[in-house]
Amino acid sequence: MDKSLLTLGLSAIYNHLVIYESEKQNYLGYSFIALEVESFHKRFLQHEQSTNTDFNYINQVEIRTTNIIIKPLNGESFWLQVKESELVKNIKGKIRYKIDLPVRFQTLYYCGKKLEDDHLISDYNITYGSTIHMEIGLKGGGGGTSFIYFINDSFISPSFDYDFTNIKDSIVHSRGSEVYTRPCGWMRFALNINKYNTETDGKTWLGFCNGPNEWLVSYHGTKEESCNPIAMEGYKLSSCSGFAFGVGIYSTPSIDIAKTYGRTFKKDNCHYVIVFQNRVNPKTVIKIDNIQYWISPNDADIRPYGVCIKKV
Amino acid sequence: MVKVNVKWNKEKYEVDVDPSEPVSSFKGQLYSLTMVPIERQKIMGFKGGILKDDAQWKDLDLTEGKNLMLMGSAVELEKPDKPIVFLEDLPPSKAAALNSLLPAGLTNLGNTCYLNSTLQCLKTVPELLTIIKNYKPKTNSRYSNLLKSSQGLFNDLSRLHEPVTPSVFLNTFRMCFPRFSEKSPEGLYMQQDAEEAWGELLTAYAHELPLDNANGTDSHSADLIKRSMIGKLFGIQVVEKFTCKDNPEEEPTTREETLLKLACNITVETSYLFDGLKKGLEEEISKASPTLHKDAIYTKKTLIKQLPKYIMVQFVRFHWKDATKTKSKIVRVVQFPFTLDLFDLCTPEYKERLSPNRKRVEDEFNASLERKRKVIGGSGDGNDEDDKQVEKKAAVNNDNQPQSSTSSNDSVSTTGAAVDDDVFFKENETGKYELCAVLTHQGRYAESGHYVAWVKKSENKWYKFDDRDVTEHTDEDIKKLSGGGDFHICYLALYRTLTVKPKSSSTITEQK
Repeated sequence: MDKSLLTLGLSAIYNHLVIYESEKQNYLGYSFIALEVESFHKRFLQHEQSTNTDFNYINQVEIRTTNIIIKPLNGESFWLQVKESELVKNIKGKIRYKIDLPVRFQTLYYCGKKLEDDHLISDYNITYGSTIHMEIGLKGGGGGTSFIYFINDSFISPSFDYDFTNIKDSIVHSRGSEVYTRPCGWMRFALNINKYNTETDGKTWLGFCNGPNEWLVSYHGTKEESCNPIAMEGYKLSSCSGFAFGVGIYSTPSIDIAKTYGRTFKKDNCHYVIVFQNRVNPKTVIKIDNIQYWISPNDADIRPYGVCIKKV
Repeated sequence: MVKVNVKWNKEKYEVDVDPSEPVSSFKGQLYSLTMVPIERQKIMGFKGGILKDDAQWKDLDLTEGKNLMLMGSAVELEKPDKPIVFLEDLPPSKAAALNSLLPAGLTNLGNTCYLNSTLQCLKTVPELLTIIKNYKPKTNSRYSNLLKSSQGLFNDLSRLHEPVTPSVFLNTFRMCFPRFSEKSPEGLYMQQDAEEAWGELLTAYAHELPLDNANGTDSHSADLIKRSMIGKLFGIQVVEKFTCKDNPEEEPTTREETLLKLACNITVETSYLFDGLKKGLEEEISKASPTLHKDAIYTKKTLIKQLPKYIMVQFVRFHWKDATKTKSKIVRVVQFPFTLDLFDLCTPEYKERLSPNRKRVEDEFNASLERKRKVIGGSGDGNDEDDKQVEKKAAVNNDNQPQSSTSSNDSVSTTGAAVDDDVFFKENETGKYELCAVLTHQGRYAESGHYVAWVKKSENKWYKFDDRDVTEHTDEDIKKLSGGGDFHICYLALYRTLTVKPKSSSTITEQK
């Protein structure tokens, strides 16, 4: 299969150049970092951390509130309603909700002083009408030479790649006694997952005949901190069912839902979208019945499995 | 060409002879082969005995493959008086002596060029170095360790010429600001923002260096910067004025704030630094109106109420694309001047304070021109060339003003009282600033790249600090840092105030 489609997709989601190992000779003077499946997957598995902030923002009754001005350095200032004694990280959560800028990109300053996440805004004497300056930064640190990521056979398993582009399912597939929606219309690149085979379970988590230890199949997106929007969307849908959203890793059995949170990139004048395919531990996963969202408690309960790319 | 075989001692040579050349040319060929001087050569093999210089080839029996014999001793090459020594073989101290003209670089300890370049820019502020040098540690203070390691680091940077390894400072810095200890999933220290490092360092210094007349300072006070020595050096006091556009009769409201830098906003129309600064200080904002009881459009205008000794300008070169959820870097060319005038950004009251000094600068400039003309007139020459020379000299004199300002800064006294007096001297400020350091970012992504510091040494002479490598550059090289492409792009610019001579000097001049 064409590896350049995969490397271009990975470059898009890393926002950095990713090449295949055999192309190293084309880049003299650079240093190289090998991508590993485990750290690669972790980078895009975002735990839901500010659930209370985001959800309470929608429902909360404002008590003793005030208004401050947020001034993005390269954007329009906006007015923000906050509590007089509110945590700085809650302010960042509200900013993210307002202009959809990930919290980890936000750096807030007041009167030249940087605001720490775990402090109250009253600690900084921030009052009505105070202007808080926000920056998103320009990263640098290379030792005079740039670095390039590369992938090799420790990262992918080409023999398990599968071209679902022109396939339409007429029968229902299942994994771990759960409906498995195959990625029809997508190109699937398999990841090298040998390190997840343990002494006790072996490869049973990878089964396809609904065995007892078989894990379920799910998908999730590749945009920066895309899990938070999933959580927000899920919250809105589930509010009428009374389900309390918990902390964890969100994924979905529907690849079409994951697609809306997938990073798009361009190759030969065509646009593509890239999402992840996972295996989810059935013993710990929480399924919301009326909507297609799954929650896994921690990293160990969701394993990377493949990368799916589709032309859009 | 005729080939002949020449035998000399135990050597044999095959020589091409050109019959059209004289015999001395043939002897020259033998000299280059054997090192036997021409006057010592005895060539035998021809009829008539030894070959003579005045012989003609046509009179000799020159044939292809003729065997000749050369007799004579070669010249001994003169040995050099002393052996050649290579730079790489010199002991380190002597090698350093050759490089003693260049200041010390800083070693990159794993994606730390953001900190190295920030420190090299801070080093251009002699007042700050003096304050840090005289710092007395307090007990149980939050940043006292950082100040102590800063003392050691800046001392090494000033004294040494080999690259300095800032590992002690880096460890202390990361303990004070854990964000800079961030590691990637691959286990490497992540790259960081140089402006954030700059801001954190100044805030920590402000915390440890209050003004002598200040009372106990609350660690999170909004006036922390304003009431510290850092505020006197870098703090820009501004007034924000909100005017309601929907209801002109509403009373405008004002707020005061202290900034540590000015932001140059970059749009598709921004080509000059001043335009970007202006754009960042005026904008419209929607907020609740107390008189209309609904959201209204307000004009927010920020004016400078008090200027510090040093101005840091940040070119805002990052952008968040909401549509694609991507963070990107702006590489647009934005010209920045070697002399920056912030007069037009000040409040009317502050402009009145600055005007007398600015007028005096103009008067001095005109007086200088007039004196030059008188001298030329006295000498009797009045042609155009002399006039141009006068203008040129006047320009040079104008450029010399920064030099005197710089030298006066370099002669800062080490006593605390003198430091305070000199640092806080304000009566001669003009609102004009000269460029003294530039911090550049190289690379086309906002999430990775390389930082380099460019520091002004003297007129038309700059040092480039690329981590441990230090090289010299000129004003022309600094102009290329305006932006565009993959070259170094200006991200931070540090300006130092330009001052006019004190009134007393002016008075003395008038008396004369």
